[in-house]
Amino acid sequence: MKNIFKTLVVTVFGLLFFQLENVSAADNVTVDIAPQTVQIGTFYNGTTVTISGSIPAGAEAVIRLSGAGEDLHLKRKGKVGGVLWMNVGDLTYHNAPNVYKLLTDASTNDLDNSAARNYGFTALKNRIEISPDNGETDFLLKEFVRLKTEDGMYGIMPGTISYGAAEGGMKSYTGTIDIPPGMTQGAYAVDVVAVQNDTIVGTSSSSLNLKQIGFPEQLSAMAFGHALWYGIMSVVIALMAGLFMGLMFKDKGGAH
Amino acid sequence: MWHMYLPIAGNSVNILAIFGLGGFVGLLSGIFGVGGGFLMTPLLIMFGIPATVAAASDSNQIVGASTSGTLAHWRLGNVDVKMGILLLIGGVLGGTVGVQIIKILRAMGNADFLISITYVLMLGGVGGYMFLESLQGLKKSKNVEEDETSKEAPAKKESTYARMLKKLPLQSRFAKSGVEISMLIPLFLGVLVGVLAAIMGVGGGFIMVPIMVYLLRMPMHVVVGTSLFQILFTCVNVTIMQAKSNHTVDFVLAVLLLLGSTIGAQVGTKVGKKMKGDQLKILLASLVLIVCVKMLAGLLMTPDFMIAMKGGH
Repeated sequence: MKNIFKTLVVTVFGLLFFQLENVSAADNVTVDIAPQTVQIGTFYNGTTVTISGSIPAGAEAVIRLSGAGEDLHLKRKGKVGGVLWMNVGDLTYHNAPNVYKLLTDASTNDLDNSAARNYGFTALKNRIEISPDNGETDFLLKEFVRLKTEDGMYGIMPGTISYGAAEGGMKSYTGTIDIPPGMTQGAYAVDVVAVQNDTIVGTSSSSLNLKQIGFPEQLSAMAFGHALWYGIMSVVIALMAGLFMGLMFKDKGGAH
Repeated sequence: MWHMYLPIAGNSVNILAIFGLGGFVGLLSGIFGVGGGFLMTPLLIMFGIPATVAAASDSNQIVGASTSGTLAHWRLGNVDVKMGILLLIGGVLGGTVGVQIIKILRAMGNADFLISITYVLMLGGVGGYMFLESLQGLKKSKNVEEDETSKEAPAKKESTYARMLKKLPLQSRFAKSGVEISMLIPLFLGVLVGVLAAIMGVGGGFIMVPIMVYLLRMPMHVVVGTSLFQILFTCVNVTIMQAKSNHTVDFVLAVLLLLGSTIGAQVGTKVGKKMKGDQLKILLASLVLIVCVKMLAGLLMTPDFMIAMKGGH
């Protein structure tokens, strides 16, 4: 009975200690995103977002911007008859984030071998599942990261985080990230990790929202909500544009 | 400032670049009577537009360009409505059959191989034949001009093909095209182009034009006008279907392309009018051969990536 009581007390204190440590880990890293919501209007062509906050003075910051997971259907290229390169099979990448960008300071040059490796591209191995599994998952994942990096949706950007002066055991950090116009509307997770002496000493999370407004928003609503009418409208306007241009050229004596 | 956001494509584009692209493809459309999808879709993908949106929005802009082009050719008396309607009916039937064929091929797992091979062979065969034939035509006309004293050429012996066509039922006179053939011929050829276009995922203008020239024996200028007339209706159907079923028509992209292509189609018609039929044919043949060589290079050269996103032509 005495032993059971001892175990209970130790467990309760252990849990309390774990909770307290977590609170302090979250509290010693703050994150602020400006702007928190990016508005996609008629003439939108991407933008820049600033992520800032504070971390322990001796730590280095790593910022990850990641989008929601989606199932992507791709084709596997291969050689047919030893001569022609063409699509030789279908692949599905399950739970693949549509965006995955990492910001580091100038001194962090090997994220995959640092304490923050679970926030880098290595983490994608546990996150993305590729089917069918042909025993070449590592290669196909590398190719996927290369393809998405080429599209501007994935990437590591070293040297994009700068620090302010240390004060009261804390220092400020600022990271700037380019939001390409191809990033679609939705919520994106922003995670900040503070790494000190090869250990994660704090993390914090927030979210960045991209939202269509005005004309793009109205047009999207029509295309998805009233698809048939949207199609008919598109055709009628194209017909009228063609007729108008035809008549304009006639008036100018273009065609006889 | 010069960029505009495309809500369905989910990307922004340079307004002037898209206007220019529309103008260039519209020009080709007006000159040759092709929709230009085989050029436009890959170029739009290069601009960061998803393949499925590029193909569907291109169909939308072709509606405008072909309306403009058809109107210009109509005024010149280059549109054979009866022939166009028969080809169109055949094309719709063929398209339906083609979609089913592609489903079976996909289920068998060798669709991509067959599509690539069909594409290259069709482009190479059609382009090569048209190039050589029009080259001979140009040489002949030059010789005739030089030899002014030459006597009238003896009447050509009627080919087996022509005799066979005359035996078919439902013979009809196509005044604008200047031919008298069975109505079954354009209907059948329409089905053939429809099947090929559905398998290859293109509008089929570049197959339809040579078929009208060589198998229906229509004059080149009437071919261009009639082809545009037919493409107009095909693309109206495709645009509405794509918007309704797949939500892939980006209206903003289509309008930007339209602004250029409708002007391009008018200018193209004027340019085409000043050229001889054989000159038109040899230029179109060269264009088709360039696309064929590009596709062949893509098949022979090691790709940059061993995976690719699905969709598009």
